[in-house]
Amino acid sequence: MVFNTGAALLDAIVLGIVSKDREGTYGYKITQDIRQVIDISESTLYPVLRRLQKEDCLEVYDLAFDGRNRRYYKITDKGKAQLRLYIKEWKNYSEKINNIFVGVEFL
Amino acid sequence: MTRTEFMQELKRLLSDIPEEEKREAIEFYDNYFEEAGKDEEENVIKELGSPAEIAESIKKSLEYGSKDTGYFAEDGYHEGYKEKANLPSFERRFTEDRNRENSSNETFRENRFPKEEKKQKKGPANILLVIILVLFALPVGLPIVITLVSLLAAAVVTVAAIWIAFVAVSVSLLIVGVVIAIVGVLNLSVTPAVGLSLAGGGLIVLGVGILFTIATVWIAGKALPAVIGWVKQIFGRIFRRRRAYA
Repeated sequence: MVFNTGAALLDAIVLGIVSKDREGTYGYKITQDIRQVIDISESTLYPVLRRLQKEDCLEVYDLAFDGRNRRYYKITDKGKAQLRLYIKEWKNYSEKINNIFVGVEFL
Repeated sequence: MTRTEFMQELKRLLSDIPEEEKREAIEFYDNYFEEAGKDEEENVIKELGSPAEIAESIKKSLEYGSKDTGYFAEDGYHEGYKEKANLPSFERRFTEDRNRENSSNETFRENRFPKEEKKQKKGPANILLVIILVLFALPVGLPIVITLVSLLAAAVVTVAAIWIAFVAVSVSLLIVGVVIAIVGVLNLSVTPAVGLSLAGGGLIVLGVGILFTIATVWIAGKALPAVIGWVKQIFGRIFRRRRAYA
């Protein structure tokens, strides 16, 4: 990947992916979903999930699946509020960047 | 390296962090292997990298909360807080429970100010555009507005005129009815037949007059306020739309 995904954007992406599932989603799936978009190492994703959980942006609950426990991550109200702000900031930011690229001529 | 070896190594490397953190992390990676399935085990181990890398990352992230000197990005942990300064300002509002230094408050303020300035800069240009728009719209808009106002005025005047006519009719009918009835009663002794029919006719006229009076009162009490209400509503809608466009 040419561009770096900073800490805030990474938080926003994780919150965004988790929020897509009303019932929550689990670690492996989150990783696979994020990998579709950015190149991220697993050793990075777990600490991010854990931190978001500690900051009460995500909540976890265990559900029996296939005879074992599956840990689900679900977005909290605080997480939703934070995600809303992230999305607003991102729209603002990406729009400005896009405006710079509009009409760029290739010599 | 097999999954068991991988997890054992990870457990060993995480032995010096709080028990809860260790349990959480082990559970997460155990879960991860489970979800991926037995066939993917080798791939997962390759993807995950070395247990040392994971342990390092977890330990760094535990320090992350206590010290303000590092951040996580796509490619892992970074020292220094340059990137953190770019974090949206609300990050700090949410972590009120932690006692923050004044410096972070200053970054918060700095982040806010540029935005407000930009909004003010936008103002004059917008107003100018609106003025130009209004000027161009005037030749078409003015006749339309005048027509509309005239139509509404005409409606009000028409209703008022009808009402005044009703008042006049009811008043004259009442007076005429009473007068004819009295004349009829006075004539009873002279020519009973004429007197009786005059009195009866007078009473009929009086009755019609009363009906008209009732109609007049109804118009004044219900119909007129209703018409005024419609006019107000129409004007309100027009002005609300104006405001929305401006």
